[in-house]
Amino acid sequence: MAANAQPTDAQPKITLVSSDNQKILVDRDIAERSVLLKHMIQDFGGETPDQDIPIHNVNEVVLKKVIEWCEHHRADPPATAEDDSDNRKKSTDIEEWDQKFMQVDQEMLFEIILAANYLDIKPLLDVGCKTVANMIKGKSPDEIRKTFNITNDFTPEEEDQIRRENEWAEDR
Amino acid sequence: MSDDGQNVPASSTFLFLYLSTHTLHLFYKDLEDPETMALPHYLQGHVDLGYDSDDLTAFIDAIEASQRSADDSSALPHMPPEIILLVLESVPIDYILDFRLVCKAFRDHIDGPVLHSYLPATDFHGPVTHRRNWTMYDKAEDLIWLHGKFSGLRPVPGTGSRRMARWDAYPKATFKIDRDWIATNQRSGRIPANPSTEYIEAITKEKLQLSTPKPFRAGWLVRLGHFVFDAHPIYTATGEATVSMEGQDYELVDIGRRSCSNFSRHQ
Repeated sequence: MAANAQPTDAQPKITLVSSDNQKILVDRDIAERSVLLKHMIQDFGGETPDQDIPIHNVNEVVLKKVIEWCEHHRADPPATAEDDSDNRKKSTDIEEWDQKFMQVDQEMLFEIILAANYLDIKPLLDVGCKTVANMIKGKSPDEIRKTFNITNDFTPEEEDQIRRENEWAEDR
Repeated sequence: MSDDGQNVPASSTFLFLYLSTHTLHLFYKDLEDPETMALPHYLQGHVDLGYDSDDLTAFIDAIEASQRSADDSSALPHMPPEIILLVLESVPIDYILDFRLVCKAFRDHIDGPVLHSYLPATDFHGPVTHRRNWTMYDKAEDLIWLHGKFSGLRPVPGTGSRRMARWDAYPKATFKIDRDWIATNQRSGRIPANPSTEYIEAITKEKLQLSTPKPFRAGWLVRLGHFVFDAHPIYTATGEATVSMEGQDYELVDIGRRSCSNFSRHQ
């Protein structure tokens, strides 16, 4: 982990403080994978801030996981607006390293997604959402409701109607 | 419908019919290349298959309300609707219809923006016959399956200033009939080498107005990836076919949705 690594080069370091008050030392370019942190660092006038940056919404375990992802992807080109429109292809391909990275329990997966959303790390958010999509794609409606804590607001008649619409052609 | 037909050169066909993405049915087809999901580059300048902030707001509000009233015994972290929306966009098309059963917000979002975003990957399939009263007891060989590929969307004239979802402004999609399909069927003699307006009218008009034989239920279908929309209930209710001729060797079929007001989002 970057937190334990000795600073060996000229790469400036930034100290993040997790919601459970743990300090984590990261390279500046790693921290800047997060658009939120990048903007915060810019607010310091471009200087590497020497004070701690608190990350209120993310605990140490999750933050370390997010940093692990950022370290692996530190050389990735930054996302552009064009990438966004390409995502309409609805590809659910996830590269192998990311797939392994996302092999965590569901709670951790959700925590990573929420952290990626809060820290504004779009590619990590995408990978997380695709992972959830792959995970739930074969599940029953009730399981999906439980996953997202959603209430079923259909009457039994409406449910039957949708089932008929969905099933009718399967028999063809 | 014949008025238009008489004024245009006689060699290919435009067919206008209306169908709603609201009623849809599915069956499985061979796996499609996911690349076909992308809008062809030559269409990108003409077609805006987005949805506007109103649609998103409606989805987010509905999910939030739903989550508030849910029994929050889940050990999982709370997922905000914005993220659920992102997850939904990543669900492969061969699973997305099952998600319509989750809640109304899911159903409406899938029936609208999600399925519309798949339009560029659609194929049109329709059984046509030159026989006057084709029934399921007749020979299947008398049925020809018309086949066309999505080629573009047409905006409704005069709706530019109206507040509506962007995809609601394009109620008609244009489908281009395969030249290969025509050539194949002409070779086998199932359609004439130069189909006349009257011929096309004859094979399409009846199908558009009839009550399809119940057990067979062959209707006009639009295939979206692995799914097929059933056009039948809509075109019998509100549909109207216009046949006209243009060009030499291809036909176009227009598929639209019912008007925005008929698209019952908040039943």
